[in-house]
Amino acid sequence: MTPDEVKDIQRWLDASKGLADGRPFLGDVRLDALIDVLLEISAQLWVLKRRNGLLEAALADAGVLPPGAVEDYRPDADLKAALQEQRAAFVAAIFRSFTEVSTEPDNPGTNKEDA
Amino acid sequence: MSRPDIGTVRGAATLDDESYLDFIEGMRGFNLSRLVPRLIKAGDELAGPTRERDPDATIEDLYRKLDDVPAAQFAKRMMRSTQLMMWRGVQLTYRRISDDLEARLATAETEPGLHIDPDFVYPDYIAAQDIHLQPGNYQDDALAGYVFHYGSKIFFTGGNDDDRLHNVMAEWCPIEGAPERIVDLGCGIGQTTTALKQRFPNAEVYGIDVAAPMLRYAHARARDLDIPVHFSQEDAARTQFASGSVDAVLAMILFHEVPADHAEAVVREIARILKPGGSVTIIDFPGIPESELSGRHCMRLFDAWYNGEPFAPGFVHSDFTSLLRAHFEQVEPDYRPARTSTGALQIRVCRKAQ
Repeated sequence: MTPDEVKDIQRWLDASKGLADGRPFLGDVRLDALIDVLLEISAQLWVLKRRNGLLEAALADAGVLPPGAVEDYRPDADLKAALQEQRAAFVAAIFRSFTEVSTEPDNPGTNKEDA
Repeated sequence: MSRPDIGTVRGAATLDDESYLDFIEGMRGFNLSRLVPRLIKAGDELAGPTRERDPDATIEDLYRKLDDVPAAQFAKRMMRSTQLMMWRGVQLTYRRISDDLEARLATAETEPGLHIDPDFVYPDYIAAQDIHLQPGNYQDDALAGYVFHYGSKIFFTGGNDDDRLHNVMAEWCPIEGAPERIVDLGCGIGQTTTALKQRFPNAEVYGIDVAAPMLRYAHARARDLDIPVHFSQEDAARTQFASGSVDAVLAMILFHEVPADHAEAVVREIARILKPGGSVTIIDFPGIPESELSGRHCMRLFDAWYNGEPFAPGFVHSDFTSLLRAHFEQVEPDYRPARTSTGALQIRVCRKAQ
């Protein structure tokens, strides 16, 4: 869990006499963060597949696009810029959890540089 | 800009938001059906050896053993992550259309059937938590009712797309004859309140809750459904009702959300407001002995500690039926209204003496 999550949980720890002490579920905060990344990627993949499926169905229903129209499409400058912005937001959403792990060293002295 | 409603749930702002939440619902279904049972199985399998090694072993000891079981580690991580994604996704999409949503709440507020107490002071136990991890809890987010409704649709993996579940709960209440007044305590967004009114159209039905945003949404929703009920911001331990003035009370999944001393105060209040012969139906988590070493107990504690249910352990460990017997003459601790399973819930029915 992230430091913020631990702080949040701490608020009700006394009331529940809980073991929610902030230890990572997978034994390492990096692994926990990777699971979150995996989930966000999976979510975005489904978002895309669902939209594509609906889009193809809608276009077929309307009979507006011939086969290959999307594959051959060339975006103009405005659309390229918009896609770049969307890409930045896309990456930030998926990799959010990497930005939330502690900036404090854990297990000090175990890195090769410290040895 | 808005997607179509899903059943009685307000639609997401965009198709992508809807799809993101659709994924989480699917993911939660996978967690519940494929991962959580493996955690429970691992807990059950470790329980015996744990007890053999240490006759005084506690559920906390067993819970810690699961920290080293990969299946349990993944189940817990996935449950927590998807819960957080759920709230993040729902709040984000409703923020995009917040003007529309807030306008609907404001319009509904001019229509009769809602009482918000301007001097209401939230009990400390409410302010101290985000129930189910919902950010801002039920009282600090103006859109909490909308957010809760979509969140619960996902939480129940599609089972709360409409009011079916709540209609069944209302049908289960053993209320006989023609009640004049029914009170739904801890009504939240009022789904059981409207369900009770539909079952008893001639009764006055009240939904009581502490959280103003939930009540505002409940009221707007009831107006949209054209079901005339009353919502009022009150503490269930200190209601406006005169002694002996209520025919029936429903408290659905309320008691595990409050501290033990408050729970007793609510039971006392129910006993006060019920008419002689009146009944209360309490639908909540089943009790688990504190000494029980089992996978289901570990999961219940995970839910408490990592999913914003701080008072649930105290409730499930308590002898709640005895508490009820101290205030009611007739208590049915395991009421079974249907042949089918009541799922993860236990139903207790109490009647006040004639």
